[in-house]
Amino acid sequence: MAGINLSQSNETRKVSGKALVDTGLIVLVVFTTLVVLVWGGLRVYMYTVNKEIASLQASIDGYGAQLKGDKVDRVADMSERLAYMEKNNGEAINVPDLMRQLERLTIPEISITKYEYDNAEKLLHISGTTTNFRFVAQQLTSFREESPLENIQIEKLGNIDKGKISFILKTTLDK
Amino acid sequence: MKIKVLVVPSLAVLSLVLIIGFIKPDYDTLQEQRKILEEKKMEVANVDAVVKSVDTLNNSLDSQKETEDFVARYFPKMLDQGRVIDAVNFLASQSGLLIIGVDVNESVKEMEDKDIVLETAPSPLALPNGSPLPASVAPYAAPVARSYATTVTAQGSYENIKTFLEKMNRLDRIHSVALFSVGVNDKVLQASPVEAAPSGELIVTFEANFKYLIPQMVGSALSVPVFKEPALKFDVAKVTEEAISGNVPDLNLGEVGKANPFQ
Repeated sequence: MAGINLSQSNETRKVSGKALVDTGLIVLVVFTTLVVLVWGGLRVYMYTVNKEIASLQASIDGYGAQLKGDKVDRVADMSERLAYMEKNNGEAINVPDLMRQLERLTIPEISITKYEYDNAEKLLHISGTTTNFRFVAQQLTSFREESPLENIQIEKLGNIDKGKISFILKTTLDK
Repeated sequence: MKIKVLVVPSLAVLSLVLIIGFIKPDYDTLQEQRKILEEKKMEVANVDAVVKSVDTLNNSLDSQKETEDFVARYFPKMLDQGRVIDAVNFLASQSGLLIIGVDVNESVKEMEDKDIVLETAPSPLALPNGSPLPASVAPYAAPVARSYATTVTAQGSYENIKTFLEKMNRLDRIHSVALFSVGVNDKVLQASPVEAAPSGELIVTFEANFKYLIPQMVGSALSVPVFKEPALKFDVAKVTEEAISGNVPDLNLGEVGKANPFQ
């Protein structure tokens, strides 16, 4: 028992504590170095990105003159005119077609006295005279067979005067 | 040893300070900058596309010079009441009608048309790829057409009136019918409502709005919807050109100048 060295375990603890501090220090130095490198890399990358943004903005600014002027005005103007024309073509009332339809649908016993269309109200009035109420009914039926007169109705129906009856029909034209 | 013990926590604290105080904010900033960079790249690509579109559309206009001239005549750039009065007078006379009167109202803005035009342009506040317009570019305001109403009242046979209406329908000048009526003379009608005139003289009243569009200067092509389109709608002009007929000769001024204008 006398040969046992009791101070050996204290020495080992001292050595292992020192090694732990050394290892920790190395790890932290490496880690801190990495952190600094990452930060530096980020700053460099940010600088590069900023430079690229500035360069792109300069390119955009450089286009300024090409984005206005006679060429641009000419194309924009033509485009607007064509858009208006397209809209106008789509909404145009074809008066000759309405006249042809009137000829086609008017029965022989009816005399039209006035055919009137108001585009603001989209209102069509057809006035006429005949000799018999039956003819008015026939005329109404005839008109109703074709668009856009399918909803035509009597607005005014006069009494027999000098053997003739006057009437006014009306309808709305959506187009 | 004691120094080493102090260095370890100091490095740990330094690392934490760098990460939290510098790297994290810089990383966030970088993310934003990368987003801006992507947007700028897209913007450059869009601007480039618009610049190319300006050239392409201009070249297409050069190659369609006749159509451009037709549109300029059909839909004039300024008030042209003289030409319209001349055309109405010419067509009525050519149709054998006796003109009773011609009236021209003052020019008005066609506000309702502007709304429709804007509807046809999907998003004037966006670039071709749908990204928002750069703040420096003012939004595009489509020009508003103006129009003036011209009313012509004429007398003639039914056949002549039909011819006149046919010719007006094919007039080489943009217009929209506001009102028209064909019928027995009102005075005759009021005197005797039942006295129709099936073969007699009729009165035609024709009112139309004649549009014109004053050209405007565009601030930036970036905001104009047409530069997102691959081509101009020339087919609209072609269809219109086929539907009309150039049956009204140009207004000839004749002799101009008078020594005493009051004579």
